[in-house]
Amino acid sequence: MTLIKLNHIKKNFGAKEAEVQALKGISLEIKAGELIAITGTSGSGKSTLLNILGCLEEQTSGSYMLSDHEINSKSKLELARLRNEMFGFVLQDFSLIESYTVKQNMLLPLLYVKDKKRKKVRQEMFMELVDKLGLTEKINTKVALLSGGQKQRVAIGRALINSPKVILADEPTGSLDKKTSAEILDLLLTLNKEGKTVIIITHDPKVANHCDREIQIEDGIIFKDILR
Amino acid sequence: MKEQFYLSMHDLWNRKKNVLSLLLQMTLTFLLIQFIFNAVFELQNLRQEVGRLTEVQDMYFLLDVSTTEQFFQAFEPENIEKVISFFEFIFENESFKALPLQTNTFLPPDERFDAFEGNMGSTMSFMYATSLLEALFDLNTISGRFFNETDYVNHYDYIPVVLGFDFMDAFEVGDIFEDSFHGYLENFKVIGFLEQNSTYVDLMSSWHFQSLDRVMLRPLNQNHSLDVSYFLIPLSKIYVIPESTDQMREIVTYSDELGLFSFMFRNMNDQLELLSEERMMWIQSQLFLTGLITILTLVSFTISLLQFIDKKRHEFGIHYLVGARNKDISFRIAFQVIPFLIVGSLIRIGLLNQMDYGWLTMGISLLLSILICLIPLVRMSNLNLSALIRWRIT
Ligand SMILES: Nc1ncnc2c1ncn2[C@@H]1O[C@H](COP(=O)(O)OP(=O)(O)OP(=O)(O)O)[C@@H](O)[C@H]1O
Ligand SMILES: [Mg+2]
Repeated sequence: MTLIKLNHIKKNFGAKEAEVQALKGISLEIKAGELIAITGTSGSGKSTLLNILGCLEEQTSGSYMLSDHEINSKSKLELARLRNEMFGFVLQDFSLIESYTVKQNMLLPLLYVKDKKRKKVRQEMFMELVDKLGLTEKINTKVALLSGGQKQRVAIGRALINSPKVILADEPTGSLDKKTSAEILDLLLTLNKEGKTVIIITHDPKVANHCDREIQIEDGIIFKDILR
Repeated sequence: MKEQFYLSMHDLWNRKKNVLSLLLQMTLTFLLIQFIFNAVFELQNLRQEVGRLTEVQDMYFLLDVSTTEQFFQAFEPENIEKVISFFEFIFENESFKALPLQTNTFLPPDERFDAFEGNMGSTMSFMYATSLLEALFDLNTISGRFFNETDYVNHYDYIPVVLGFDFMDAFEVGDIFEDSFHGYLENFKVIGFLEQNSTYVDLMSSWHFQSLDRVMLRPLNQNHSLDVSYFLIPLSKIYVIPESTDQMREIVTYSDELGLFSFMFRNMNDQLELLSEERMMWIQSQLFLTGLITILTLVSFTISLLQFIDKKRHEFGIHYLVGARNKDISFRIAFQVIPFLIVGSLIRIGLLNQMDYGWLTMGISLLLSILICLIPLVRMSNLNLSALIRWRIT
């Protein structure tokens, strides 16, 4: 089943002379449950692509279909809801609020869940999720006091708390040592096995090798799209 | 929305010191604005009151310009006849009406009056009442009665007095006390209490409404005079309602003939214009000052919010990532002004102990809040939140 369909997506930054073409026409189909690595040199447009996929940014031109939603025509409110419900983000710098506890960080997405029932169900999932991530002892610890690996697990917890369909990870192991990197990768692979669509931007060939499919971006276009 | 409010309260709590100084500024601004309103409205009320008083007939006051020599001469025993004749000419004249508005502070040696002794001495005063005073300023009693015709002419062992509202805490109708303000002992008996906030105007000395809450009224009654000072006190501040300006000239001429007093007269409406002009100048300078402080408050609030936005950019980015819109975060910023509005208003009400024109100040406060939020909200809407969470940029 096709989950995501991009058609000739372009993205420009800046105006007139200073204009940068970050994406120059990307067409792409992603099926539900896929495990995808996006690779490419620095500045090639990987993060830009991921941000558009995650409804963080809007494309300059081209169309984006998510399930049967036409993303181009969505209001800010609907886009925010998609970020909240459809996607979980895991970023290289963890993007956590350092002064908050593990629990506060992980429950943050629920702040933007309007449906009370859904909110309650998700809250009840919290302890189970914490256990799965091995953070049970740390729920009330400030994030600032955690190690890099622990922080990334909190970020994954936050990404998962609202049961998204897609996990978008932008160099999730970029700031971690080998051992922790392997742990985080394992976690992401497990999530994929459990049915989540996982898209990982990575510079690490080993990570890419674990994925079913590798999309290589160069200079704003798809250079290679390899199925393994 | 509820969540954003909660977050914004948290944000305030996290920068308590800054918030405290902002709160002080806000309160000061509110107070100053309230002062201006009070001044403007009091002036307006005063104009109304003077308009009412002089609606039918012009009102004048006699400006005492007697020399020191004349002042001492008036106390000489051989001159008492002249003083009395002038007193009668003024207050018992058939062709014009006159009103004594002189007040003197006093403090009878009676513990029931102790509460009316302030740090700077007595906080109460007495005044001679006439039926004209009652009629002009529409004085009413809340208990007991006001003076009747006989009170102004008969001699009593106990002089009837009507007390201001504040004295109700310490006295009841029928209570008696003694005092020797005039240098000889007098006995008084309370016959009534004035309504709260009873006032009169005395443009000769002030543009404020004069409160009667701490004033004792005694009837102007010659039969209670034992000494020349009894006549001299009411003569030292006289308002006159003549049939024509000629009568004012007659008064001045007569006093000149007696040689004990020198008077000038002035129309109350002229005095009002004079006072109003002065007052408007005061209000204008006050307005300028308040405007300046308001702008300062606005600026510090705006800066504080802008700094807050700058500091929290990363956090806002994270909220955006998990499902917030710029709008949600804008609410979080705008909500921060609410406690200032509430606490500022409460302090204002508490300090001034008044709600008058509160709705106007409320309106101004709302306008202020909108102005405070304006620049921060524009900044917020221009923030590219998706860029904030990019590894490369943060
Ligand atoms: N907000 C922005 N404003 C202007 N230019 C931008 C912005 N975001 C990205 N770019 C530019 O777009 C191009 C693609 O950037 P992008 O971050 O997508 O690259 P990337 O493949 O993720 O690189 P890296 O591997 O270093 O993370 C770059 O030239 C970058 O400078
Ligand atoms: Mg990148």
